[in-house]
Amino acid sequence: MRFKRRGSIRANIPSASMGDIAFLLIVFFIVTTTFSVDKTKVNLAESLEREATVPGAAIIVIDSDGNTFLSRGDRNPELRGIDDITVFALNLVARAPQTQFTIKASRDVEYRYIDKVLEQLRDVNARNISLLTIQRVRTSAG
Amino acid sequence: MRFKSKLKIDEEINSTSTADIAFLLIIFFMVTTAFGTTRGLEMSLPKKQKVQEAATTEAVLIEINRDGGISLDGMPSSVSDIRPYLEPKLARNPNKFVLVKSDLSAKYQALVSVIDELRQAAVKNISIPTQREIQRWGRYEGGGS
Repeated sequence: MRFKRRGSIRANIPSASMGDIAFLLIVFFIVTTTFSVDKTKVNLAESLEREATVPGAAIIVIDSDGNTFLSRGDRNPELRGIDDITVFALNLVARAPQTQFTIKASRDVEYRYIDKVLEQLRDVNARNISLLTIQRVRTSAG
Repeated sequence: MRFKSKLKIDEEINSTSTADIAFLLIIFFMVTTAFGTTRGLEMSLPKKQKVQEAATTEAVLIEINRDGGISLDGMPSSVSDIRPYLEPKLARNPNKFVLVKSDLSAKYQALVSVIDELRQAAVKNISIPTQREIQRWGRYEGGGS
């Protein structure tokens, strides 16, 4: 006796949920990432202790030659003189006294440049600064 | 006479290309953005009176010389000596001030290494006087606390 085939199964992979998954990933990327404003290349100092810096903070970049780049945190830092920090910081602190300043200095730069930066920030009563570092790998010796 | 409809049209919006568009957007975000997790050593600059207080109270003085070597209260040491030296002092006084004085020609990495070590030792009051302040309070120039 031959059985009669009644229906045919359509070979079809449902792809409707693919869009949902993809949009979830997009939302994740939008929430967790920020556009990198600062594109300066600096060989940062290393430290074991590191805390997340405040996004959107004003950036003071000092490269290994002592060149100073400044940004309010909304665009790529521009080349300026190191003595311009006072006016730059004063404008920001006058508007928001709790302005965060991120110092992004080369590990090879002489301390005299950092000293000048700290002096000017202190002069304008800047309170919150962070020294940008990269993670130091802990060796067995500590 | 009734005609029988032969053709049945599926009422469905084709969503196949939605995933393609979405994945294109994902690639865009992955390429053009970076994770906003820049990290570093957070510090609060003190008010001027506070620095004066650090200079006048019994504080530990860490000096960084031009070749990156350090001295603890005048004794030549290394960065790894900082914690063992400070621990008994911090046990007695958790608010102990530590002054970090660097030679102007020393590399920035040397300063960061010292601050990093002080952070690990849980020092609350770290003071980095500027050259102008050091000149102003010449009394701790070249000496311990």
